[in-house]
This record gives sequence, C-alpha cells and structure tokens, in this order.
Amino acid sequence: MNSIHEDLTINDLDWQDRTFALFALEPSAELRTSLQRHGILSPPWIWQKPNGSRVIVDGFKRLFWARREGLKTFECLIFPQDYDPARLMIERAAVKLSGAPLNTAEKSQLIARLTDHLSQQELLRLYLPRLGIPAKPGAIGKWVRLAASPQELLTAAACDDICERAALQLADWEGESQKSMVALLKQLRCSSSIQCEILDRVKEIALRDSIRKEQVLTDPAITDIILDETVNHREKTQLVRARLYRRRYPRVAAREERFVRDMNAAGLPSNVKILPPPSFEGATWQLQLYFQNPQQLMEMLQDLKHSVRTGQFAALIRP
Amino acid sequence: MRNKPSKILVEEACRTSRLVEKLRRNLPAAQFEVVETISDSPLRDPRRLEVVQFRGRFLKSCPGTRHYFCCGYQILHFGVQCSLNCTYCILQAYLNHPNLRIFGNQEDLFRELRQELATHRERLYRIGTGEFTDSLLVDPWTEFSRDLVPFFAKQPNAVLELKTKTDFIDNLRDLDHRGHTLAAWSLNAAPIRRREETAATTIKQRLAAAKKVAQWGYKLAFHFDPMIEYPGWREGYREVLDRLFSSVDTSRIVWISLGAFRFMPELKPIIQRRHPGSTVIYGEFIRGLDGKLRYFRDIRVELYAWMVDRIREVDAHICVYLCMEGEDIWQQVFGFSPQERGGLPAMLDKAVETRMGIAPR
Repeated sequence: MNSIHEDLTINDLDWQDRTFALFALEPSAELRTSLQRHGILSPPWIWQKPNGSRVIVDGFKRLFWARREGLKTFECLIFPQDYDPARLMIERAAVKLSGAPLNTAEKSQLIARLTDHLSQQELLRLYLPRLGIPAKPGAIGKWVRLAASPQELLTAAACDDICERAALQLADWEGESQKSMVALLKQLRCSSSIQCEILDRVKEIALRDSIRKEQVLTDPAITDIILDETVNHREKTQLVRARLYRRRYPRVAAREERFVRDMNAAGLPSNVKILPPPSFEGATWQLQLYFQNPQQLMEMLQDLKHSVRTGQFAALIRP
Repeated sequence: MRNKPSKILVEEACRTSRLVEKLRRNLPAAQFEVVETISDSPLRDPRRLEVVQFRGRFLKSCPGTRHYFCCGYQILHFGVQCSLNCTYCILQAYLNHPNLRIFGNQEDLFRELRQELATHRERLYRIGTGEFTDSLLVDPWTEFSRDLVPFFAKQPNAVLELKTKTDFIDNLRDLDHRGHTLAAWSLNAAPIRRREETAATTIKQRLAAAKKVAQWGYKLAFHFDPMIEYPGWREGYREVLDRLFSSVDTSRIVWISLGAFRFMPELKPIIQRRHPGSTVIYGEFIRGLDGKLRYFRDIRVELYAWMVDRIREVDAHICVYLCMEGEDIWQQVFGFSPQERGGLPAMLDKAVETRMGIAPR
C-alpha cells in the first residue's frame, strides 16, 4: 500500500460520496462503548480522488460517530489519487471479511461492489465461501438484486427481522408486494423456516389465482389477524399460517376439519386416538391406545368393539 | 416440418448403422458429426439429435411402485428425451442429457425383443415405446416404425403401442401391421394443450391423425395423462371427449387411460425455472405413498369419476383404467378394485383379446 498516515479535519471529507459505502446499521453497543472510552483506535481509510475530494473508504461508523460528537480532526490512512479504486475496494473487502461477521445487507452490498472489479469466477471461488454463501451459479445475481433493494428490506435483513433466504427471495418481489411482506414478517418475528413457508404460500396462491402477491396479503382475514391486539406475535404467526394453508390447500384443509369434527362426534374415549393416513392418501388408518394395565386394555378393546360398529365410526373413516 | 433435427451427432460405433443411413437420406441438409462417444452435457439444443450405442436392456418393465396399481406394460427403450418441451414433463429432470438421443444399435434391440418374446410364448406382451421419449417424434427421419410395426405383426403374443403427441403417422400407412399395433395419443383439454404443450400438435391435428390411422386398420388408444385441474376443467375435458368420440369409432379404441398430474418433488424447481409462466405445479398436491406429489385424493376422484361417466355415456364397454392409483381410488371411481378382476394387467390383456383378437396360444 502506498498510503500515508495523516491528520485530517472532519470537514475535509466528501460526506455525499458513497462509492465505498456498504449498508450499515448504527454502531454496535461494543463499538459505541469503545469509541466513547478510547476514541478512534483504528484509523479510517480515506481516498484522495483525482478531482481532489476526499472520500471515506473504510470507517464510516467511526467517522459518523466523530462528526456527531463534534470532533474536529482525526487520524487516517490516506490513499493517493493514483491509487486504483478497484484495488482499494478489494482491499476494503479483505478487511471486512477478516472482521466481525457481516449482516445480510452488508454481504449483499459487498458482493455488488465487488462485481464491478472482479470476475464472476473469482467472486464465486474466493469470496462467496468466505461469506458463508454456497458458490452456486446464479447466486451472485440474487445477492446483487438484494443489494439494490429498497431500504426497508435491507434494514429488516440487516437487523435479522428477515432471514437471509427470505430476503433473497423478497428481492425479486415487486414493490408493493415486497413492502407488504416485509411489514408482515417484521410483525410476526417468526423463524427462518416459517418465513420461507409464508413466502412460498403467498407466492403460490398469487400465481395460481393470477393475482398480485399484495392482494393475498391484504386478504381481510390476514389484516384482522395483524390488527388484533389481543394476540401476541406467536399466536399471530400461527393464525396467519393457518389462514394461508386453508387458502393454498382448501380441500385438504376442509377434509382435515371434517375429520376433527367426525372424531369428536364418534365419541371415542380420550385415551383412544385414530390417525388418518398422511394427507388422507391410501387406506391405512392407525389406532393409538393409551393404557396402564392389562385390565384397562381389555376394557378399552371391549368398548372399541362397540364403537367401531357405529355409524359415527364409519363416517370417521369414510373417504 | 416442426421439430426437424438439423445437427446429428453420431457415435463412431453407430456410424455405419442402418439408422444413420436412413437419417442421412431423410435429412440431407443436416450437419452430421461422428465422435468416439457422446458425453453427457447439460446444454440443451432442440435441433440436435444424438445417435448412441446403447449397452443396457432395451426391454424394461414400466416403473410402477408397489403402492399403486401398475398396468404391467413393457417399455421398449429405443431412445430418450423429447423436444416437445411440455411444461410438466418428467424428462426435464434428466439434466445430463437434455437432447434427443436415439439408440443406433437397433439390430441388438430386435435381437433382444425376439429372444424375450420367444422365451415366454404363454404370456401376452403389451409393449410401448412412449415412456422415455415420444414414439413418433423422430419417426419421419428414423423410419423406426417401418421396422417395428411389421416385426410385431409376426409376434403372436405381443402388441405394440406407439404413443405420441405428434401427427407423424405417414410411415404407418400401408404397413402390414396385422392388427398388432395400437396407435395412441396423449390428449388434454385444449387450454392445457395451448399453455403447457406449446410445441406439440393441436388436439384437432392429433384426432385427425387418429382418424386416419383407424382408416388404415390400426386400433387406437388414448391417454388423458396428465389430467390437470384448472378452472373450467370440466368444459375443457368434455370438449376434447366430444371431439374424440366424433372423430373415431369407439369400437377401434382398445383402452383409455386416466392419470392425474403427479411429479417428483425435484421437478418443481425445474419447472419454475424453465417455465415460469406455468401454474400446473400450484394445484393442491400432497406427497403420495411413492414420494411423488399428486393431487389430493378427492380431486383425483372428482377428475376421474367425471371422465369415466362421460366416457361410459358414449361406450359402456371401453376399457378405461387409472394409471398408478390405489385400491381406494379405484373403488370410489369404478366401484371395484382391479384385484377383483385378476389385476390391472389382466384387465388390459382382456381388452387386447376382446378388441384386438390377440391372445397367446
């Protein structure tokens, strides 16, 4: 590196130039504490551009903190104007990769920036594995699309309100649908697998019914669940999932509901359970008995003999 | 002519085969290239036809599973892949050889077939070529049917079923088939044909072809497989049934099969990627006993029962069967299980005997 250490004043920086910026959240609590106690320990990188302006390369959080705190000068590492910006970006990536784990939004922006300077092969081979991303064809495109997504999605992904897989899928959703889904997932605060399930269900219902995804999300039943202040986010998640399941699989859901009704009507003892074939496919039903001694089992079997002869039992296993 | 291959890649071992000779004669403008071996490649080229030396068994049993009743059909494996590009097709999952591939060593195929049929003379063989490829898609250039149909004409214990979505029937004219060949078409409702089978012939063309081959003395079969549930499916399937029965005399039809759409879960992302506009995979599918995704049972029963009723209104005696369905579905649709009639293969053998007059001695 041909850089030199130098003291600069805060006002010397071009704060508008975001050439090297990655999406970032507020500094972490640890970083804030360290800055308060010790000030800037590791000098930010600044590039003196050929037009004379000075842009931040690395150290955005530290410098924004410094400006907020009213610091006048700071020590930095200055890169001269003939320094190749591509090389500078790659070196910045190396620093980021060796530091604290990046959030989803940062990863996406790092990949997007590097696509300007590296070949797809280099990115796939050298960088994606280091970011914990499987080096599959098409992966770079997905991450670049996420990097270009609106602020709401990037913020939700950066804060882990939306998991990585869901964020990558959502990057391909059109404006209003994406916005509605981000809002819903932020409210539900559910696990990654449930986020992906909700996304898939909404997408498939929309494709099947030739409607926009936000029309699925603005279904009054879903809106009512979201607005209901008497249920917590876990209950809301279950209700939303159930609603989407009923809409995606109406006849399977109706059959399941009928089974529950018939099971109740059959009046079987509470220690006897009838299990239908998975998804009612095939003709093999299961019976579960819970007993504590041979006498109890004998009595249950006697009772069952009577129960299976009833019309209610026949209705229970009727196709 | 649609789907005409323009690049023929031939393995050295097949260079002087009769098949390649016929291809050179019928495709004079095509570019031929001979290579030592054709290796697998994921690159799809619908204009390419590969001729390879096949080293496996040409005759295979239909890949049924123990969970559902299988028709007991034998597959004559003469090639693999299809360039019709139907959205729902299982052949899309054969990622390593996406192009049409025909086996050049047809002498070996006939040798194996002759031996097998001679070994079990007491048994009736129902043999088809339309499982891993379309039976007639490349027939205009390979003329394979011109060898196959007369071969089956001489077999007392076998019938051949050529299953297609094309109207490439010209080679069948004037062949000495002696009633041992069934010409069969896959049919679907017209909206499904338009959306999901874009490179195949129209239903009208298929039925016109069926009518013609019936006039040439061939028996017929029709396969409504995959049946797809969509808004208006009743009207769609009613229309195609009406057209079918007004095109051909039902006494020429040996069987009609019904099979609701089912697919391996791995096929779903492939269809999503290759046919993003297709909605066939968004029905109410559940995981079947064989691991494939299939419509929820009530939907299948509704599709089948409706079709069977319409077919029975026209001809109460046509053999209608369900492809890969279980006892409970058969009972609900037909009121009986194939087991009560000796099994599904026996039912189809019976149809061959009744409608084609063929039974092993």
